[in-house]
Amino acid sequence: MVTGVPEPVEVEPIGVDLSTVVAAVFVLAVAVLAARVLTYVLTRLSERSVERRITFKMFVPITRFVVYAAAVYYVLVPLLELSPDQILAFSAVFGAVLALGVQDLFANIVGGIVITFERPYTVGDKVEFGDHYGEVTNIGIRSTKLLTPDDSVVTVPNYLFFTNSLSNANAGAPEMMVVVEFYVSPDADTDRATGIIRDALKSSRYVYLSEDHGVVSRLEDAGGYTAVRGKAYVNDVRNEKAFKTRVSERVLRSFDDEDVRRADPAVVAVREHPNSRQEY
Amino acid sequence: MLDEAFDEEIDAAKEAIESGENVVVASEPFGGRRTVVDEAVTEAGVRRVSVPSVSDEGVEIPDDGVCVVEGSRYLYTRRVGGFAPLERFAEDVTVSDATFVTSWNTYAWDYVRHAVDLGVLGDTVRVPKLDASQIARLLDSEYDVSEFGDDLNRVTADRKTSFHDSLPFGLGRLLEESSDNIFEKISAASSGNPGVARSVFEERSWDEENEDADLSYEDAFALRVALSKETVGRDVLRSVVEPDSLPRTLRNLSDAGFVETTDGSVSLRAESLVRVVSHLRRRRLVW
Repeated sequence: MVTGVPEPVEVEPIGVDLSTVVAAVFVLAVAVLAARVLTYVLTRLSERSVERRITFKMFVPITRFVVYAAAVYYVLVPLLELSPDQILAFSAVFGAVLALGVQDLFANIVGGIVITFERPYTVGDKVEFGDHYGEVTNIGIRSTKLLTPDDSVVTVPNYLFFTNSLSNANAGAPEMMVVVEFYVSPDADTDRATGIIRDALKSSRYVYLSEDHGVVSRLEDAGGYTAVRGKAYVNDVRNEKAFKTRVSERVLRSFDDEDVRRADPAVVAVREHPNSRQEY
Repeated sequence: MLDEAFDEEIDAAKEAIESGENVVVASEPFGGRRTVVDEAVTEAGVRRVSVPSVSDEGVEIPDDGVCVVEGSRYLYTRRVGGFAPLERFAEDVTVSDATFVTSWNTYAWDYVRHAVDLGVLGDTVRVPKLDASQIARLLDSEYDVSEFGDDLNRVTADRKTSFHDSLPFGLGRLLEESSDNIFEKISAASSGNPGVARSVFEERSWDEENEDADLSYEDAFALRVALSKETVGRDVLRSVVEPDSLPRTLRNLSDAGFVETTDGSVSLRAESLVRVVSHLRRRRLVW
């Protein structure tokens, strides 16, 4: 007699008739509708205040997840009335399907769930993800959508969260640090240049100032020119581009008005920095 | 009556002055900082320096004694080079042996103290908001409120208002808004600001709905400047917003009931203060 081999289990067939299928489709349709309505309501509420926008939007993916999970549970348990053996058998079939080639989809879904609950970023955050930088506009079951500064929508598969490093500029706060950099001639009055940049930052209509959010400046002799860098917080991540643009305009105009000589573009090496705008 | 309501703040300012420490007295526009300063500085020989409007010229300050500086909010402008008068003033205060009492609009102070190092101006005494019973007593002392005698007796007799103040998330204000008592309504409509309460009472506007205005960011920033300065010259606004759009901006602010405009200047309307602050807070121009 052979021992250690489990007895084969007889799994009852799932009793699926037309009415059950219709009911399941109806439940899933209601779930989709409910998720959309709740997303719409939360989005409308969030847009009423910059301060609370990200807080409200944080609940959008969580709400959608809860609605879809409840719908799936309702279809599998009360509607199909699956027994524990049937659920086990369903899991085995599900595993086989994964092995047959939809593991990427599954990885994306797991990524979506992890992102929803671990919250390395949330809707409204400014993130750099792989080669892409922009505001997170949607965290879906399969992918995350980013709105880039040039108004393109980039769809990033959620599984990339497991394999790529992520930089989050504001981490759920409405404000974020912005860096501006200007290059002046080595014989320029750097004190005045720094003063102009600091004034332009702290007087900006988009600035956010508090005990922990001040204006910082730094000089760097780059050989052939001096780099002057200013850092400040913008009051709303959505104003990042406008903040940089207006500060740059005002600084350059003041440089000209006060004879602060800019560096010769020919001797300025182009340096890459994700959060800075280079000016000469 | 306001001196009773602000007695703790008056004592704090007096104490600072007597020990030779500089002190900042800050309140909302129309919030009663002048009362606190006047009550705190009663001795003879006090020098008063007034800054009547925005100017690149500095202020002349004494080398000794007590000096009250009014209109400190006009010592800076939100433009490149616009902080220089305030920076010079802070340097002058550093080298002077006088004791300085500077009076500030809260919205100007809470912005500019993070933009310029103003530690030399001393600790800040903030003028508090009034509760409904204090608002009632204030209006009773200055106006004929006999037609609201029952409301006056109720609001000054019971201790409900202090209960309202203790409620979190602005629930107290919501309760006051829905109250039948006129003084609780005025307290809610003015957010405890005595100057605004006077204005609401004079205009009989305690039941008016507070609809939000549809303003561009440019308009909202001009409003932010007006909130900090209370009254500001058009030339100053022209230097901080787009000069071409200034007439349209002023029309929008005026239509929304936020400001009054004359040929040369723009003034914040007291009765609109609560709406203004609420709007700017939502836009994150006030934080």
